[in-house]
Order: sequence, then structure tokens, then C-alpha cells
Amino acid sequence: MKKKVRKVEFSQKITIGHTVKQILGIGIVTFHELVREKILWSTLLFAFLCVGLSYALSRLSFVENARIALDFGLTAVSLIGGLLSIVMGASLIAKEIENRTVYVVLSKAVWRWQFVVGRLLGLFTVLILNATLMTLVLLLIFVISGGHLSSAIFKSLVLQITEFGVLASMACIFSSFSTVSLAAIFASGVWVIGHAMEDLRAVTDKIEPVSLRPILHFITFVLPDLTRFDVKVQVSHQLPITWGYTNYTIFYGLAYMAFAILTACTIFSRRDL
Amino acid sequence: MIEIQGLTKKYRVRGLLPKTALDAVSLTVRKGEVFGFLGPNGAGKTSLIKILVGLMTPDSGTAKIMGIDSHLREAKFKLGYLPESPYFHKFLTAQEFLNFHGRLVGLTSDQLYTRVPTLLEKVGLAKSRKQKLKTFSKGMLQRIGFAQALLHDPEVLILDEPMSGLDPVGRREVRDIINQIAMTGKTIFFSTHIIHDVEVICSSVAFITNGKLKGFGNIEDLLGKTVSSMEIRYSLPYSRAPEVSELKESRKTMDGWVIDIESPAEKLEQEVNAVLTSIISQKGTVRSVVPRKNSLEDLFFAGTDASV
Repeated sequence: MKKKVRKVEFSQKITIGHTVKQILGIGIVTFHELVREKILWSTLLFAFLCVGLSYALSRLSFVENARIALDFGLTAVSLIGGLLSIVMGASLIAKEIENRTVYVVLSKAVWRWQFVVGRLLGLFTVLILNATLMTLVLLLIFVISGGHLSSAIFKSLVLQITEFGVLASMACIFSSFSTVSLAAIFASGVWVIGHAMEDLRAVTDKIEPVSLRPILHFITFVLPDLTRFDVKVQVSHQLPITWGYTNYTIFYGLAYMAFAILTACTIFSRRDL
Repeated sequence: MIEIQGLTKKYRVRGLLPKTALDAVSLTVRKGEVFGFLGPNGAGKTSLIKILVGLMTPDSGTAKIMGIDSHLREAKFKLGYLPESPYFHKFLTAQEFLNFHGRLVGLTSDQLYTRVPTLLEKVGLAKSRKQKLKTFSKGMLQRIGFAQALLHDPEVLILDEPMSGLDPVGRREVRDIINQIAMTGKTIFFSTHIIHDVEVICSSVAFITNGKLKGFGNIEDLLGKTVSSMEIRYSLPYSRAPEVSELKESRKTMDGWVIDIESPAEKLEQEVNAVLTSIISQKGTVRSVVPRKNSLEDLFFAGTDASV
């Protein structure tokens, strides 16, 4: 019997489905790449140690064991997550360029913005998993210490993850035009200033010389106010966090991420590789 | 197939004066050609290739792949690219790597299922499909690089120094793959600084130095237009020295005399005949007449004044 030979036809049409598949493909590879990073596991281990230490510290106190554990644990989650967002966000594009792995990817029918969005998608997934994992361990210790779960803890986790997203997106902007180390330094600056935003605003109209004021106004206008995402005090003191505040802050974070991603895509699209 | 018109690109390296990587380069590569882009290191080969595959934007000029501007996404469906010393995501296995790039070029799961094993077979990596790329040798990386470039069966293949850094076995393997692909009628554009690679593989060639194109065309035509030479070895009776004017430029060797005749191709035959007649008139014996064709190396040095 004659064997029927079928010639494979390759589509050269650009469809939305194809575009989404390409982004997902890049996201999946980025996820695989990032979960192999030593820094992820070493910081995660450090986070577990901190959370464990919070349990030990809470045992030293006669009162409010759970509150001490929660307070210390939330701080550890915030610091470790922030550090990871900066380090991984800074290397997201710059490392691909330094390693030259970007060449074969972008020689395909892939837009530069797809590459940036795909890479960020992979990073966000890693950050969400990381924050969730750390929070779960923290909650376990919190409950063992006699604490009671509340919606405030959940809101705190969501806000914390949003902050990581904002930080990673900002780091990605710097990563799209500079080296890994420079991007990490710039992003760390954003982190520090973002958490000092309230103080910065307070001194903006009082600082001398007067010529510095427009610069400070510009900084406070452009950089994200990361203090909005910090609700650790409210959570540990069982103060109410309204859904209105949570939703507004999440929206603020998402808007900021959109702005940052758009900026990173624009810069990267114009860059010669 | 590939049309490049007045391509110019300048760089500014760390705030210094701009360096011209490409200076109004124009050339055409026809369908089915194996085109060698020859030039010393730093001549501008990689810059031109990066513009062709859309990684870089020219300051002026155009580059088209099958009539489509190279910076457009549509043009990339038509080409496959293998960068110099390929750097891939080394944590992936060969199969995962091809699946990833297959999705990027728009292959469906069914197509990947058949296409990936076929290509792995074609580049001789079927047995290493589950091996991580970080364990691959340089030659194997080059071969998997070819496979990713061929995933969507492109009509144009652009290879940046595909044999750079390979040992003789690896070079031979890569050369065989290029020859195999060339037989399927694909257009291959590859850059190199090694003249021998061009002589062995290419049908056409372009020379570039310091960003300027020094000429391009079919290799046989280019060699045909240049001065050829002929070497005649002869001996004279009783160890006599050549006396007639045609033989004045002869050199003495261990067993006789040798004369090199350099002349444009159309006059060469006439001059050779004159020399042979002179040898016979002196009762000499012609030992050998060896035609010497100009090589690409001669052409390259004549045209570029550069060292390779």
C-alpha cells in the first residue's frame, strides 16, 4: 500500500491566540528559570528561619505571643519578598541580554513587549508562590501560638503581593536599559524612597534650599508610595483594614504596574540589542 | 530574496566618538544561494545580521527579506537565525528547548509532536533529546541551534559565524548540515572570517571591512574576472641559462628552471605559447605546465588590504 505523505503546513498568520501562546511560553520558561535560582531558595530558607525565630521570640514573652510572632513574621515576609522582587526584577531583561539568550527568542515573530510581559508573568508567578508559601508557614506558627485568623491577614498578604508586583515592575524598567547590578541599585532606591514617601512628602515643602523642592515634588509624584501597602501594624494590632482601602490600594498598585510595564516595553522596544 | 539598500549604522561606545559599523552597504542575495559574508573581526558582519533579524535598527537604508522590511514581524516568519556562539536557556532539555521555540514560531502541539523528533534526527541529536543543554558540547549546541532555526521551515537561513570556535570534527558536521539544507533549495546567508569555509560551501560571496562593502557576486564570476597565472617548469641542455627575452624572469631550481606567467585571462594563452616556443627553440624540455587560479584569499586581500 502506498504510504500517504502529508506535508506540514506552517501558519504565518498572527492571531491573538498565537500572541497569547507566545507570552505564556516565555512566561513558563521564565518561571522554570527563576525557580532554579539559588537566591530564591536561600532567601526562602532565610524567611522560614525568620518566621521560626518569630515563634521562638514569642515564647520569650509572657503576653501576646501570637502578636509578636505575626509582627515579626510579616516583617520577614515583606523584607524577603521585596529583596527577591528587586533582585529578580533587575535581572529579568538585563540578564537575558548579558547572556545573549534573548537573540534567538527575538529573532522569531515575537514583539518586544510580548517578551517583557512574558518574563514579568513568570516572575509574578514565582513571587506570588513565594509570598503565599512564606505566609502559610507564618500562619501555621501564628495559630500554634494561639492567634486567630482574620480577613486582615489575607488582605495584608494581597497588599504585600501587590507591592512585590510594583517593585518587580519598577526593577524591570531599569532592567530594560541598564545592567543587572545598576538595575538592582536603582530598584533598591525606589524601595527605600517608596517606604519613606510619607516622610518625604512632609519635608518637601520645607526643605532648603528651595531649588530642591521641585525635584522632591517630582520624585514623590513619579515613584510609588509603598507605605500604602504596609498594613503590618494594623494586622498585628488587630486594627480594621477596610475593603475600600484594600481595593483602592490594589487598584493603585495595578495602575502603577501597568505604567511601569508600559514604560519598560517602550524602552526595550527601542533598544538595539 | 534578501535585498539590502544603503544600510548605515553608527555606534557610540561609552560616550566616545561614533564608530561606523556599516557604511551604506547594498547587496542582493538571490533565492537558493549559499551566500558567504566574509570579513575580519569587527568588520560589521554581526551588525548587518542583527539588522536583518530585527535585533537592531539601521540609521538609514533598508533591509528586506522576501520583499518584507526586516524589522516587521511578518519578515521573521520567513527566516531562521543562528547567532554566533549560540547562548540558549541551558536548563532546558533539547526537546523542551525546541518545544519552546516551536511555540514561539506558532507551531501547534500536533506539529510539534512530529516536527521536533524529525529535526532532532536531522541534526543527529535524537538520542540526546532528554539531555539538558548545559551538558552539550559546543558542536551539539550549534546543531540544536540549527534545529531551532529550521523549526518553521523558513525560506531564508541566517547564520552568524556558524563554525566559530568549533574543532575540525564540529566544523565538518556543521558544514555537512549547511550543505544538506542548501540542497533543499533554501537561501543561506552566513557570515565568517574564515575564507576556506566560503570556498567550500558558498556559491556567492561579499567582502566587508570597516563597515564598507568591498564587492560581492558569484564566486566563479569573481575569480574568472581576475588575473590568472601559469607556472612552467623546464630544463635546458648542458645547464645553460635562458637566453631569450621570454625566459628572462625564470628562477633556478634544483632540477632546472621555473617561470611564472601572470597575465589577464585573454592574453595568458598567447604568452604561454610564446614561452613554450622559446624553450623549444633553446632545445629545452618542458617538465610541467601548471595553471594557478586566483583564490578567494587573493581576492580578499586585493580588495580589502586587511588581514583575516
